[in-house]
Amino acid sequence: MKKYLSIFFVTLLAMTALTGCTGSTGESSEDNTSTTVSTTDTDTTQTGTTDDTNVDVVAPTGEPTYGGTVVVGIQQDIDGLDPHTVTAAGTREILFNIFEGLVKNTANGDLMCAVAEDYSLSEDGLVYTFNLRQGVKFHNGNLVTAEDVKYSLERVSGLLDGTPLISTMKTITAVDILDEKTVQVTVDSVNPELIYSFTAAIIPNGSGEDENANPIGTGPFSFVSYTPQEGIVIAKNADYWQAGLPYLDKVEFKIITSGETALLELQAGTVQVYPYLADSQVTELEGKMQVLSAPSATVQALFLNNSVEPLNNVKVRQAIMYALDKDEINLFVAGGDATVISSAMLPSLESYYVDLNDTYGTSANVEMAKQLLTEAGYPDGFDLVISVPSSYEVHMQTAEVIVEQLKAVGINASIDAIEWSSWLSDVYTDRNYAATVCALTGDSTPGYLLNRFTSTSSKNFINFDSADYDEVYAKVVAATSMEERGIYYKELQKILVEEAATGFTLCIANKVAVANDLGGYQFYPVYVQDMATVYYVSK
Amino acid sequence: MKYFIQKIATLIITLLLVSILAFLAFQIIPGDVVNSILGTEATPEMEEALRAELGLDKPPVQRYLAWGKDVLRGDFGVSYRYSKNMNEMMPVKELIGDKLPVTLWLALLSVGITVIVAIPLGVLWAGTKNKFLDGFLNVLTQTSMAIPAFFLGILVTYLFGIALKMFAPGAYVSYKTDFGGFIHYLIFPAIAIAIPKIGMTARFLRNSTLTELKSDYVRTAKSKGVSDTGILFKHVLRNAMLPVVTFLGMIIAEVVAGSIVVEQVFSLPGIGRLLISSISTRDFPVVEILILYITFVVIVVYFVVDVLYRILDPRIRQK
Amino acid sequence: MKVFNNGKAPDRKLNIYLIVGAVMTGLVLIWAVVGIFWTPYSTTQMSASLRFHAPTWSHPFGTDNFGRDIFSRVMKAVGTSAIISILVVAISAVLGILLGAITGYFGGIVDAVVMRVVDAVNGFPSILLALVIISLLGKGRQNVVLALGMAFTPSFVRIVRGEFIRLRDADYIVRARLMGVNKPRILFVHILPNIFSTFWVSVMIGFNNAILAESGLSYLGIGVQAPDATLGSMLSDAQGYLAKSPWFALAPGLTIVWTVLGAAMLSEGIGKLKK
Repeated sequence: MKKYLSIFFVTLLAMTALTGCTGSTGESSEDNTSTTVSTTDTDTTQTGTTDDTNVDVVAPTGEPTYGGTVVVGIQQDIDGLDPHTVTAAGTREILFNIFEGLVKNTANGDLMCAVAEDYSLSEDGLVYTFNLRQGVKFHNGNLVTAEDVKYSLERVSGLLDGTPLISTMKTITAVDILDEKTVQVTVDSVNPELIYSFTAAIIPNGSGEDENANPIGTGPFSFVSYTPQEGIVIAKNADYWQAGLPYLDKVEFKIITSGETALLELQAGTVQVYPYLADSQVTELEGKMQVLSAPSATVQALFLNNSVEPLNNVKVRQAIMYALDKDEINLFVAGGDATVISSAMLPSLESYYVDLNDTYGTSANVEMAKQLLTEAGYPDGFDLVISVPSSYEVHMQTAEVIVEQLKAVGINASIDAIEWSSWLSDVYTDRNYAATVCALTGDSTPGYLLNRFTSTSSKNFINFDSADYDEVYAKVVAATSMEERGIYYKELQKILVEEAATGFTLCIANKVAVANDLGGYQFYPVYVQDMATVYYVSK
Repeated sequence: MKYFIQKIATLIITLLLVSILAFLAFQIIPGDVVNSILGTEATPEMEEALRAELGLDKPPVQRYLAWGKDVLRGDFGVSYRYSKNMNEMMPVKELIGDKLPVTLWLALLSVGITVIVAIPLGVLWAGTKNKFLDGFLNVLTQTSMAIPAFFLGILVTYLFGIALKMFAPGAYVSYKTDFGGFIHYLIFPAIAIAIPKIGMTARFLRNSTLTELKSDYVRTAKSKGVSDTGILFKHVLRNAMLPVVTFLGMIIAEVVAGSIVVEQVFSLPGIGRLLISSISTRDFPVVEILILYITFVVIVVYFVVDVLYRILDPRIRQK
Repeated sequence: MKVFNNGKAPDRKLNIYLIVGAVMTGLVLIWAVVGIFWTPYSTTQMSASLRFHAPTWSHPFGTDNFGRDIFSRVMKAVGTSAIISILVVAISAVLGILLGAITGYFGGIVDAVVMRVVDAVNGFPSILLALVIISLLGKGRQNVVLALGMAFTPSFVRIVRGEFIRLRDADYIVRARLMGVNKPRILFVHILPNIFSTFWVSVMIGFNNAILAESGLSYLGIGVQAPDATLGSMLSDAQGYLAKSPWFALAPGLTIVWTVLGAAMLSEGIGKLKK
């Protein structure tokens, strides 16, 4: 069993090599070599990013057992079951259990091979060759064939009907079946981060068009039922290719929209796992059940619209940077457990992150802020409306703290609480706002959160316009290795901070309540609720 | 007969009016389902494609007419947000049909509790000479009406759920799997809904009874030597029930239309919660049908109230 | 058997409702009015060291998640909530009397048209109605008042209309009509005073519901904007900290109960006084 459980990952640095999953020598994944990490090792009761855990965890003692049902509380309904078209992070993190791509995300931010056994990349970086793993079965019992892979990739890349479902994959120009276990993918431009997109689900050939098909994938759990507003039920996939997984027979994802209800249910034992705990909930649960914590994949910020008066003045923006007391925000809204940040890079992506917190300091510098405001021509401050999506308690609270901090330097800020849909249209799409508090969700692609700040990006909702930034970003695109990209990513972060593009505040910790008799819960740097490794401990 | 035709005509006009209002509302409030679905991943091309897919790129009038035509044919369309399976969106009919029993049973239970407790309470109260009982009931009913709904829900949860362990909070059982367990769970939210309604109804009944007791015919009956009990039950209550019936009608309409807050606190997958979530995700087909349903219920309940009014009050019947 | 007392006030000498109601309401009013001009602490100033303090002499209601004095915030909030609710009831009661009187007394086409609109508004979820009004007119207290006022009007119309239908054929009204008394006088002098005992209850319930509905809007984030507080928004803020610091929720919660109860007792007392 052990040899199956030792899974291999493409580390980010290994991406410069020409092959994936197995290092550069092409040996099969059963061989235990290379710089990989095992995340599914059952010998450790608490796996994953426990080194980042700063809450005392009472790890359950006892051996993993098979069987049982776990109810996971989720905060919002899912937006679909088609793995290629759903967009909500809350849906993707559940579908992770049902679907797998050629490769799949691991808990440490890397990739491991899934439906593919290994893959290689041509010298020019334009041709990916995937060798399919033998014996992988869909939930309907059929073996995964090269046809299924070709169909799935053509569907997401838009080769099927002209509409790419995953935008990064539109660079795919051809998917060819070399033999029954080898698929070759040709792209038209080099992108070292494209491999992350091959996490796209492999589904049975033609199933996308099958009107009455149920969601069928290759993941550790198969779909059982979905009831709108109640939740989704999945059951163990007995034929799962990773031997020994999953442990649980059944997992129910139950929608609980009220935090108060969630607390009651956790305490009553009707819910065993509840992710994304609010700070207030943590204080109520500590000591009663396991509260696990790890940095999340979101960066929160006081986003400033760089094209409205007076925020178009860099000195005004810098004054706001000095006015922000991020340590205080951290304490008030996250109990001090968040990571203070200054730029749009997840601190967990260590190879690319650069700590720039010293530029403006993490506590308030009222003198500097006032001086800059005076230099900018606003000695008496100005009025600033901060639009905040009201359904996000943490952002609302952050905004409330920021209003007070800005008041201290003479800026008369007020909060405009709006609905999430209104926020998306007015603030995000139409950019009709002055400032907002919100968070961006990153993924394991390091450049993901940085590309939106180029002046022409449709996602550049802060209207940041810097020729330097665009120039460096162009170098990122041209770079062919991740090391080279890393250098430019750090440069981009520096420009964002120097220009005071926006007031990045926190990378909020993701805290999860887990019942005391459960083990094996893993954190991912991306939105994933991996239930495959969760188990009940023996009594 | 003319009366019924008239009523049905007004029902249709009102429904039409409401559907237009709701449609207009969706034109006015910022944000649409496309924003809501795509979230922060949206690119203008994706938005445009999705808008075209959902038919939202057509002019509003055309969209409304197309929607209206479908509804008249009995096709309520599919939800923008809820999918049935991998490829199919959830038909609105099925979606609402699934939630409706929850709300209806909750309504039945809570109105039942209200009537069973409030009517005897109101009569007892109107008839009592005991100053302390009168004062006690007064303070009690007023307090019951003064507690915010979700606070009351939480209090009920703590009392019956956590302290008395009479039910497991949040452990809602679907009526499809275990009907007994479903009703058992529903009793507690029903109590939370009923508490303020009991207070209101009892007060209403008591006040209208006292008003009737002061009227001429009571004095006449008394002078003729009819017993107090006889007057109360034969004449007074019948008239005193009139405003109470209107009031109960309003309560029924309100509860059948969905008790948003209580459904939220007790994690009940009912109409109220569906409405709130559909409004916030701008799921127009669902919201539109839900609003029509609510309006329909309100009007029909009032119609029944009206008929009852006629039966109970001979003065109106004669007209 | 004598089961009732002819509607006579049970006790003329000591009107306990009036006294208790007046004291309760008076205290809240004084508290609220003072709160408009002065509070013991700033209502917005945050303090990291004062978070979640239990009630003490210096902070009688404790402090909240931002270390703000809850006593001061409730003081400010009770005024805001009371003003909003009074205005909501005023708007809807006046509209309710006007529309209810006309439709109830005259019936016919006016009745049909008005009642259709009333039905439509009634059927329309008040939250969506509030959303529409607020997105049309923008946020702010006056629009909260307007939105809730509109949402509350239909129930007043129905009650007033029902009473007018009941009374329009009463003997004394028929006599007044025969004597040629003009219509506004019949409506507002002859009938209106007679519905007050029923109507008064509705007004009190309306006030109660207005405070509760405002809390609903604040809960959805479309009511009064933070850092300003109403009793409703404080309650919804406190909801998450119920077990850790119950006083956070209890203070605004009990203030609501106190305010509504006081107003109700007062109305009861006034009602008895009239008799």
